Amino acid sequence: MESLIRFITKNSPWFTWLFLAILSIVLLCQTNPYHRSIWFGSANFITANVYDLQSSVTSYFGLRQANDEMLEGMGLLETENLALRQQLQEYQDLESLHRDSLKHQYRYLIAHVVGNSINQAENYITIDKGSTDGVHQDLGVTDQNGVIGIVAKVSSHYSLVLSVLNPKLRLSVMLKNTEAFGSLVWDGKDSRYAIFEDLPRNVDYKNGDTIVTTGYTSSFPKNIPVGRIVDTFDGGGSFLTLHVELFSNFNRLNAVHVIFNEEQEERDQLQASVNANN
Amino acid sequence: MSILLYILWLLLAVVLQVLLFNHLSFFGGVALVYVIALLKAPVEINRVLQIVMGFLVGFVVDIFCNTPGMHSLTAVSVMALRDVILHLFNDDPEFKSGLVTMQQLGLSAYARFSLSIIALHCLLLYIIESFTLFNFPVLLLKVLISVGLTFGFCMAFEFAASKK
Repeated sequence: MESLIRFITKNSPWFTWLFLAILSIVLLCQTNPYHRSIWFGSANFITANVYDLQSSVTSYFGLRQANDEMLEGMGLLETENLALRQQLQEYQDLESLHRDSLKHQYRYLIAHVVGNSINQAENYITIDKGSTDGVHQDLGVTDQNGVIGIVAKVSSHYSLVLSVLNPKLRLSVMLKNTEAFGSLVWDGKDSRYAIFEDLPRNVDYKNGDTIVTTGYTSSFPKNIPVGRIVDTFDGGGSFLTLHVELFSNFNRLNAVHVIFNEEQEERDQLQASVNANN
Repeated sequence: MSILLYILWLLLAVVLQVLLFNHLSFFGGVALVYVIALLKAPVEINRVLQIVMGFLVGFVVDIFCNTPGMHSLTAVSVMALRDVILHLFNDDPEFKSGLVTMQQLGLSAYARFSLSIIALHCLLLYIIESFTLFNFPVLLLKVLISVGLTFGFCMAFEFAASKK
């Protein structure tokens, strides 16, 4: 017994080590986080407070970087803001443009075709809108596909439209995107085709190119589709004559648009005054 | 007097470890500067007390690292062997009291002594840590980096302290 006590006393450091090492291993083996005591982790009161104090000091060290990041973010937002403002301005400009040119200058009235002919030498279309609806002479008429004609006579509730299929109508048209212009007339042969006359010979074109209105006359706005080129007659002069397939099907007209040009009167007066002076 | 000085070292080392060096990692290796508190324990302290103190230091670090038992087991084992290792490097039979310092042992002996303790500590710690995930090259790299960092900082602190 005495020797045992002497052994333990002599080797007390090793026994202490053994005891504490076993205690550490027990702590180490608590691998399940739910079984770990909250007192042995960073979530306990003292530890949490020490970490809290630390972060309240060290968070100031990051302020410069945080500030830089915030400035960078502000720069990005400012750039975005500028871009959006510019876009908004563009839309506002576009809207005012729209008001000026389309809403103010041109106005559409829906009308229905009540009478139509295609096989006579001079063809007219009758529509169900007249002077009480504001319709008057020389207004342009289109359908969803393209140009139909120009109002020739009005009564109180009906109007007579000079059809494209009428040799009395000469429509100012051009090759789309080239500004090379000429006149569209009907040759009285086929209701599907018309003739594009007076196109300068130097113009580059090919079959299938689209013919649109020029806007030179007050009846139609610019770029209303008319038809597409299908063939060329070479008359031998300095101008070309082309065969044009019309977009509108005159056989089956139903709803058409009467185009009101608010500046038509002003424009016609101007042109009339020029003609009178000559 | 040396006990008070030692407590100062102890607190400084643990606080620095917990608040600063635990957050600085270099390729997975961390500088374990609290080992300096184990290195410098005054020689007059009873070995049992040294071992208990080693356990407490490890335990505090464990709590802050959320690694219960890991640093305690390492520190308690290192402290159990510390006096044995110190005898290998200490030629002075008169060295019976006071902190283990560079002036006491001389630069060469102190460096070899601290390197031995640090290497033992890091090796033990990472072996215990890698019981769950054993990958020898990674383990070796971590041990080497930690030993290098810890030794560098501990020597720097020792130089700074000896200048006073």
